[in-house]
Amino acid sequence: MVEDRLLIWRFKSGSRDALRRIYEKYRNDLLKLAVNLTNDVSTAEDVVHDIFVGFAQSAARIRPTGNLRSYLMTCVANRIRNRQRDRQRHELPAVDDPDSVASDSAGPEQWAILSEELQVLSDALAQIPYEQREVVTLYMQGDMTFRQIAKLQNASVNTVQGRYRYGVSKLQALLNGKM
Amino acid sequence: MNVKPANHIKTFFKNAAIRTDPKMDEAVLNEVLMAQEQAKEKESAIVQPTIWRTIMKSPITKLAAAAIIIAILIGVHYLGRSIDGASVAWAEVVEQISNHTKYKCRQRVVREQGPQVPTMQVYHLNLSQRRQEVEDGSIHIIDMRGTDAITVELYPAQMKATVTKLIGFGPRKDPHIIEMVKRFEQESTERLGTKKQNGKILHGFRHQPNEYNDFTVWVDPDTKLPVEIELKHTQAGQTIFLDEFEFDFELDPSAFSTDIPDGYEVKTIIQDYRPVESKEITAEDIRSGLNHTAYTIEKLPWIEKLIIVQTVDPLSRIGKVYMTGILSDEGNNIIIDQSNTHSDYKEALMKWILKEQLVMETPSGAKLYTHPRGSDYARIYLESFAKANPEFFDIKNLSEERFTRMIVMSDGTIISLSANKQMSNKKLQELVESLIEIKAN
Repeated sequence: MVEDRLLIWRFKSGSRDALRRIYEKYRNDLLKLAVNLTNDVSTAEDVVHDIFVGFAQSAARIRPTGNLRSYLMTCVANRIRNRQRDRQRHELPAVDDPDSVASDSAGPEQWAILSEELQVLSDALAQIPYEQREVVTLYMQGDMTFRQIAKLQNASVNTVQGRYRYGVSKLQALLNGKM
Repeated sequence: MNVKPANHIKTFFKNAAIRTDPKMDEAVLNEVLMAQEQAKEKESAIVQPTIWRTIMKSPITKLAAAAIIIAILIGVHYLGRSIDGASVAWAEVVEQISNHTKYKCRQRVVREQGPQVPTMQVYHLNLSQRRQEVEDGSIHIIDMRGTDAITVELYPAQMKATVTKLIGFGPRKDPHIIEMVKRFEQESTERLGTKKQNGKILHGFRHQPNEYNDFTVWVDPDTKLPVEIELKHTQAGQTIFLDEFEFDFELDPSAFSTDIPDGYEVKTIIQDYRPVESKEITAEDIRSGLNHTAYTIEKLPWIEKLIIVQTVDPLSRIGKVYMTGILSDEGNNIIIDQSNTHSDYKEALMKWILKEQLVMETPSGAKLYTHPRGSDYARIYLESFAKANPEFFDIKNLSEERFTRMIVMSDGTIISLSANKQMSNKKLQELVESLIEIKAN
């Protein structure tokens, strides 16, 4: 936490090294979060790339206080939710996108390389509704509180806890035998 | 020891590792660092004039100021920006574009994934009429001058045509890319410097109105008109390239006619863009509104309430859907959705449905399939019904159990069923078997 505060201060002062350190520290976490939320490596890579580029341009706006990891995770979650919402708004029920299946093979220019466990987890998460997926992932991987997640989802804490319970229960059934 | 499910899942999250390709890491990091540099330059450019004014106020520092200005110009040149005296102001570009409402260009779309879009020559007669000559030989004519817009697709090699009538869509002016470019403000348009192309120096401008669109425009400094425009749809993974511009082209007005030449086999599609009034209707209204078999539900002992509404399609926001809402004695809200489909759409929909999981086949031959976004779909339709008829369903009661099934009836009619809560297979089958064709009175 202290290290993060120093990093933010140095980043705000224009330090390339600080930005490099932030990138190296959180890159994998954010990629893993994005993969778990989207079950699509290419989309996850795009989102995390955009988040870091946006972050690099935002030195003037970033506050020196606050949890950097939570901030970046929230950025990723918000970006992905906006993409989901835009997809729903512009797409008919997958008629025009019949081949959109999560890509799980590493292409020649793939940035993120998933372990088998992450692939299994991501595939299971893709089978539960998005709001549940988001709560479970942000709580278990993002170490966010239900209150923080409720604010992000614009829902009550009770609703979020309900989503968590349903999500965990479904995941348990899906992952049974794979653990 | 009985370990709670959550702990198992947490362990899974912990063990699920990711690593990255070092070369891609470096590439992404370089882009991130470059973004930081560009952000710093922008800030510095804003600050710079203040420093100049301060320096120039003092007669003692004028000489030093001259040296600074020269140094800055050299620095700017080093960064690739132009110090060409014949620079173009964006406002001049806008003025020139505004003087030419008629233009043609080549349009190419490059997609990172998925099917590619063919290249076409696009002739814009005005904001409501255009002609597109596609590289596959087909020709499209679009006319949005009237209340009902028309698009015509001609396939000369096959002597076939598809006419789409968009009822209530017009009159409309198409905000095509040149129109969007005209609206860029001087202050928000970034200079990119120059590039040489076909022996000519072009001046570049860039504008990002939002996170979804990134425009780059290359302009001829003599005419002040665009030579190339690139529009990157950053979230959609596609870029549109416009080039080979010709302003004030010569083409016979009949090239923009929507009349079909003699001898063509014509298919007509109607899309209704007129506003849809959300209201309660009868089964007979569904029958007269649909272009295929319409279904209603026979009363079942566990159905407490049945309401039929028409409303705008909640997915496309175009055209009507007819929703039959059922409230069960267990407090479940179920929606059966029916809407018009033209043959092409139905064919594509069937291909998509058959990739899903078949979960039930009823004795009468109806097949029920899963929906890949069944929970989201159910939420959208429940919300839509609640808006049309708030007494039927309160969105606050939206359940995490909600689901959707695509139903292919024995006669090939496709309808969807969404429910707020889980249903037993017995009740699901009963409900589907109770669907009967609505016949004319």
